[in-house]
Amino acid sequence: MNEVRVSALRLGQLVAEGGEGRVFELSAGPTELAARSVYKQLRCPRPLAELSSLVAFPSLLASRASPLAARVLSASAWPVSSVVGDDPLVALGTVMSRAPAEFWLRHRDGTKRLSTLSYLATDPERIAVAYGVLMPPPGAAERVALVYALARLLEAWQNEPPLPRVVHGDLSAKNVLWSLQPAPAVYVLDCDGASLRCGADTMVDEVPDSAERRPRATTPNWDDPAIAPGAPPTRASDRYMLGITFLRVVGAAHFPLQGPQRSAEHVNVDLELPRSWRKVPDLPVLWELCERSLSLADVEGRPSPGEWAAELEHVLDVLAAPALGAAVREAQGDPRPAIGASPGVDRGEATRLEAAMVPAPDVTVRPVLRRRAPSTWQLISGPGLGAGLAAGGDVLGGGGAARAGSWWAGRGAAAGVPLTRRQVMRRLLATWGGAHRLAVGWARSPGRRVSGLRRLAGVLVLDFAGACVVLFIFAMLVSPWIGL
Amino acid sequence: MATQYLGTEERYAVFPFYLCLDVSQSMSGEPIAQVNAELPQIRSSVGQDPAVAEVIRFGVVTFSEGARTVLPLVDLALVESMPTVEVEGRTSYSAAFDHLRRVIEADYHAGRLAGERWYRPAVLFVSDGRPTDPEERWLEAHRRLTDPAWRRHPNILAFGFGEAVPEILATVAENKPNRAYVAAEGAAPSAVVPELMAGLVQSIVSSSASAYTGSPQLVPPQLPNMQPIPVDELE
Repeated sequence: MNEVRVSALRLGQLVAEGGEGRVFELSAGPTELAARSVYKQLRCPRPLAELSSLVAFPSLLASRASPLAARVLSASAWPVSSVVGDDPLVALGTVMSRAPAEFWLRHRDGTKRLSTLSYLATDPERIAVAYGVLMPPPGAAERVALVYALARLLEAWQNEPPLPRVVHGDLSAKNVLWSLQPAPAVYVLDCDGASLRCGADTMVDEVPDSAERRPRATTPNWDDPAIAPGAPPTRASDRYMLGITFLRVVGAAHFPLQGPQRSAEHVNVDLELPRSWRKVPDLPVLWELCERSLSLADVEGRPSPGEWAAELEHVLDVLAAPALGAAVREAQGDPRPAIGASPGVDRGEATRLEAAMVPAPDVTVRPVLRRRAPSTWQLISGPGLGAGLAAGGDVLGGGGAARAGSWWAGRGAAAGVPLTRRQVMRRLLATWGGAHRLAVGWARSPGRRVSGLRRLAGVLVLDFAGACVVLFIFAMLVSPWIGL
Repeated sequence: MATQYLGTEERYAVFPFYLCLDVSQSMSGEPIAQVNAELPQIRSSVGQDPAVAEVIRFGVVTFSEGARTVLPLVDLALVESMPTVEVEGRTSYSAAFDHLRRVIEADYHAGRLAGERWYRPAVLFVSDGRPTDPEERWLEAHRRLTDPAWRRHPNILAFGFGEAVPEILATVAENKPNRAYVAAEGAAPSAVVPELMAGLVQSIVSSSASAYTGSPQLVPPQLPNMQPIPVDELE
């Protein structure tokens, strides 16, 4: 049923109120959907044709690619009926699916709230303290899986012609809900404000007629700085929002980009990741996707959601969490991997070649490993530790620091006493070992790999020079003995 | 082209709001009961939304013969319950303005020590009567609070109902356009106070959204003829 008379609806409680309209529960209605649907009453009625095309979109998609339609219906509050009044050509509102129960969070005080991305885009410790809700830590595979779920929904929206493409225009924290149970999933709200674009497959100038030139109310801090105020959003702006969602959800922080970008400043983003990422191989394609998605230098060149989905599948694999990717696909009713993701193809090389042809992004994303927090506790009953404490070891400095300190000073070391030759040798050895460990650590850290390799090369050159000197001295010493 | 470095620790500047409530005798009965009934609504609307709570700091100051802080400037997400306010004696505007200046100065320095950056604070001044202290005294205190030479001087929105005098409220709002609002004569407090508190919540929530853009605005409640006010960041 694509159209419903407003008189046939029996409105229940007011659920939400926003700039574009008010959302009511449906206590009863003409369809069996009433129990799991809500009615959005538009503040400004719109031409029925606009909403009808949106309502018909999943059916149209299903006729060509039914798995993609399943993604749309499972992951978004897509309009299911237009609501009309006396004028049959004007839509007063729309009936849409209600957010399923798993997209609600319960705070410590019992309050139930929609699980918006706001919870993920901030420090998890703050959320735990304030609301008693536990979030996955920054950089967790679950966070990557949520962005993957969103990328797959956008992949179903941003079709190739002749299918129409969906531009949502406001993929912000308040419009994207998330859940990790039973599987990582997202649920996008406010889809009645989306628009369908047909025609040539260009990124920006594809608005077909004046009806679709309607500006979209966007959320500050989640909007695309390439879009002038009052201008209609484009497919590229949805791609920007996907990029910023990755940064904020995986990094669990805001990264206030738009202000500097609007001032034409180059932005360097340090994306802190947990130390578990040191075992992950460098992911140049991923960081490049971030930069191209957020860049204002080449708006048309922003990567497609398909590219994102393919790369995020790869990331989940290297994070040893491919099951999360499979769970996302299963929950969306489309078990196929990302469209166009062909195994064995060096996507990195292809992307680099492509990138060489376009202006450099005005955003640089650099992953850095999170600094290890100082430990509050230390072992106080271990062999050899008594000497360290006796020598003035810092109790609050952490167990590692105390142990390293005692090893560094050597047995029997005390403040103010000249070092023995053995202790000097020990310190030289510790310095040599530390330089190697640091270089290797950097070389294995994504984002510092190049400087780590450079440092490692320097250390090895010094090693080689030292070995030559030792060999020379050894040869000088032994040569008289062997008659040379 | 300049370069900006953004890291995980990069936070938005916070937007402090001080609700300055008249608790003089004239507020006794229904008005004060309505205020106490509505204060928890501010906590649930502002504090329970992580995106709003992160950039808003909220404090409550009451005044009658003297002024006191009943809720220190806090992150409402971390508040378990809101305080209740009680009716006291007369209506000393000078006590309110002097107290606000002291509190803002102290909170600003405490915030800086905690690593916060501040947007210019907003004072939501609510009164239902006329000041009982001498005019020159409260005007002098008001001058100290709004002194442009004092870098932390707040933006003031003034709201009045009951016996409040429009001209006095306009003076409190520095005679700036669109900053003072008086309820219609004879309007019942039972209708006015919930509307006003709902308007203040909406004002705080809308202002918080603008704080994220880096061009914050103090968005007044959606009342006729009120316009957003640009806000600068404090040094």
